[in-house]
Amino acid sequence: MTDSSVAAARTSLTIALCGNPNSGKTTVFNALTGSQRKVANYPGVTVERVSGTITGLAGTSPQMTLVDIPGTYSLAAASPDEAIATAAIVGPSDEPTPDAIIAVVDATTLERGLYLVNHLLTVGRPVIVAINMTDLAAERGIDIDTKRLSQELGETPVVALVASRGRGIDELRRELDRLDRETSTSNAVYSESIASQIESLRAIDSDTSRSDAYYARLLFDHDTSAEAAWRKRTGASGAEALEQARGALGRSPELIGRVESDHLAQRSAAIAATVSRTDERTGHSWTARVDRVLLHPVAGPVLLLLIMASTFQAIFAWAEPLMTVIDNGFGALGDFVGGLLPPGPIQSLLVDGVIGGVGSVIIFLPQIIILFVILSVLEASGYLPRAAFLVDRLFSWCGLSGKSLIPLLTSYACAIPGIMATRTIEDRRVRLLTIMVAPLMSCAARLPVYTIMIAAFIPPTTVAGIFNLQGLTLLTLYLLGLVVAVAIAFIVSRLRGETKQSSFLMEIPPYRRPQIGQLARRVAGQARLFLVNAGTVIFAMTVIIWALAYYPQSSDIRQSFAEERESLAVLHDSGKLTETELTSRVEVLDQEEAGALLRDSYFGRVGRALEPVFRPLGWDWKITMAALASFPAREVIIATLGTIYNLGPETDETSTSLVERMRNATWDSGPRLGEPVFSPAVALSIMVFFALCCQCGATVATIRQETGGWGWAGLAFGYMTAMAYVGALVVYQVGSRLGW
Amino acid sequence: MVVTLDTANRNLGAAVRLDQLKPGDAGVVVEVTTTDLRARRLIELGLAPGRRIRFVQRAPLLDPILVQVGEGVYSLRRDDAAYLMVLPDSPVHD
Repeated sequence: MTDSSVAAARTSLTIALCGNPNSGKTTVFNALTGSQRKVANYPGVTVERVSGTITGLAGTSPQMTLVDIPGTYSLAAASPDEAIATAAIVGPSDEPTPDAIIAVVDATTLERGLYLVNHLLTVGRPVIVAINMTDLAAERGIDIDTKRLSQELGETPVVALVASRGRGIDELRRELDRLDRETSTSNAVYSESIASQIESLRAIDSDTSRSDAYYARLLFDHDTSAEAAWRKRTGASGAEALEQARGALGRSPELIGRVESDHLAQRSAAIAATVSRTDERTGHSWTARVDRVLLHPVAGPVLLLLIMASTFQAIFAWAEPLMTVIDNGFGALGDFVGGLLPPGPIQSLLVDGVIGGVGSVIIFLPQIIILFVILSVLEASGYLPRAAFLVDRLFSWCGLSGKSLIPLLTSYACAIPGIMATRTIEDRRVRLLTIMVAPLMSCAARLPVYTIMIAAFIPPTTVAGIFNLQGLTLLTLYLLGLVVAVAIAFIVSRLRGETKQSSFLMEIPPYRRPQIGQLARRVAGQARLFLVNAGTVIFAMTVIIWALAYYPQSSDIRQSFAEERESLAVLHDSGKLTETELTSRVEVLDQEEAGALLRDSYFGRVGRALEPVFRPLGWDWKITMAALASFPAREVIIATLGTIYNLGPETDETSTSLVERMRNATWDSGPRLGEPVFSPAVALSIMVFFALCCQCGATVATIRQETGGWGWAGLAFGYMTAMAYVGALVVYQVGSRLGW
Repeated sequence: MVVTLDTANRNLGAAVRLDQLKPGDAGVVVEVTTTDLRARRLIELGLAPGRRIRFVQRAPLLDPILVQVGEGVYSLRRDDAAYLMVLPDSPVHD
């Protein structure tokens, strides 16, 4: 039974969507599948397997699942990301290899696209070529004869598209309806000499189902897992045949890859020359004109800094009103629920634990949305590769590459997609270094910590006429991660004695107008992730922390306070206390009781035992415990502080918000008894700790997954935690001496 | 092929490394002189023998550089540019 008859027997077909990066693959994907898709886990780059069902096919067609393959220039993988693409198309892969392939080609860079198309034709599956952005090509005087192209590619179907406007999508669907699965496509992609060597390998292979692409990858790629598997499968005769085949192609071993790439480049160029015509235009494109400013040697870097500075300013300024609304909403909800229920564990769990804890995290949703809108616009518009170009020299000086910029910038949103985005870096050492420093970038989860500390303890003074001290503090914290990352990368690369320069070969795509739909989907995805996180991890942590901070509710303590209250009542009854005096004395007693119970809780007992370790950082046991509870996910600190201060003595009628409660917090023991806990120095010490610490279980797991071991994950966790402690210590010791 | 015509009609000795050109210069790629994966990537992107290439500009710190091939614009480090032998439209004087 051949592969194609297996495919025909299946009721559902898998179609791979391939193409160069920036060829408009995602737009074609969305147009073919509508809005429904199995969403990738993380926004950012296409590193996860994204699939969807193709809509609008004829009733007679089988169901087709479209799989979005990471953008690639050829099947000869140079980066981990491309290795994923090659494995998904040629195998070996956990998922079945596709039944057919749609190859998206950017009409303006036809030759480059055809290089990949030629490679895909060797896979032995039906290929449909989709020439995208034909409108842009026409504007630049490029005219492509699709009929002729189809002939040149051995009657491979070719469709012209403007996917962003939906043009040509129906024609593409009709080609999918016509997919002829019985025909095994035989396209003479390779020259006779290459083809005969492929046949010589096939002749000694017992498995007859393998495609040309499989043998081509064996022949032309060195030291791959496929080659190891081949040697294992075919033994000495296979290894010998491989050596002979390579020798017969007449180049030295290290040049063998060039046999293929030279051939394919010539073939692609020849086909492109036959089917397309370009009117020479002298005028410069719109993109080139914009780049004259954005890539200007002086203006370029200045604008890059300005763009980053205004991003952080925007996060702080624009989100403010929305956050106030949400904050007040949760406060009112807490009061409402609290009024409905009798005092006791249930009321406390709902009001102090759930509403106080989760609510204090959810108010940061507006900031997260603003951050992602800006990052997504920068990415979709094509600015990020240019930023990488501007900073490459600086980055290469410290062992990174301009390609590290995109993972690092993505990590400002979330380190997980950031670490995944390092797959586009070919050089393994550069990639590892980028992964190790990526969690230092201030991710969205740190933002709530910064915001609340800054709002509470950094005065909104105006600096240099235009900048707000609060915004500047935020910018400084964001830069801190970057500066430390660069310093570490510099030291590591010098210690390793780097000599061989890595490569920085990157396409600079034309500017594009970001598509609102794609933008909205990405931002909504991240918002959902944040809310799901708040609803699960943070919710669970909150309940656990509430329980640890509420129990054991020592009856001794309750007893002694009840007695004191009673004696006050007696005093009142005997006329020695006025009504107002009684109320205020009882209020003080209530607060003292809440404080004593909290101190006596399990949480309080552990915290007080650990307090000496963190006192040099300016932290009391409550901050200590909140920080330690945040190791699974850093947003937990806000929820924890919300719960602690709801349970503790800081609650009173006038201070509804967490900010106010923190301002009122005082030391409940030790040499500074009664003094305020927080000062700008303490706030800075907390923020620096959170800026440098690896408090994110998901990040540690992702590092393990991407580096293939716990070693690197453990190292990242260890060095960041140590640095966080030292950093916070220095900031507090220096800051408090300066009187902050 | 285009490349054979061009190289046959001109003096190959006039070919220079891409990194020796100046912004605004243009020419035809005649050879990629490295053996590793980098050569393949250059060729895949179209920085291949026979293609016209234009040196667009340098980055602010002089490295990397931007080149244009067809409608595609690429950034590459000077180390990599040194692997591309280019026959410039007008002779280069050092």
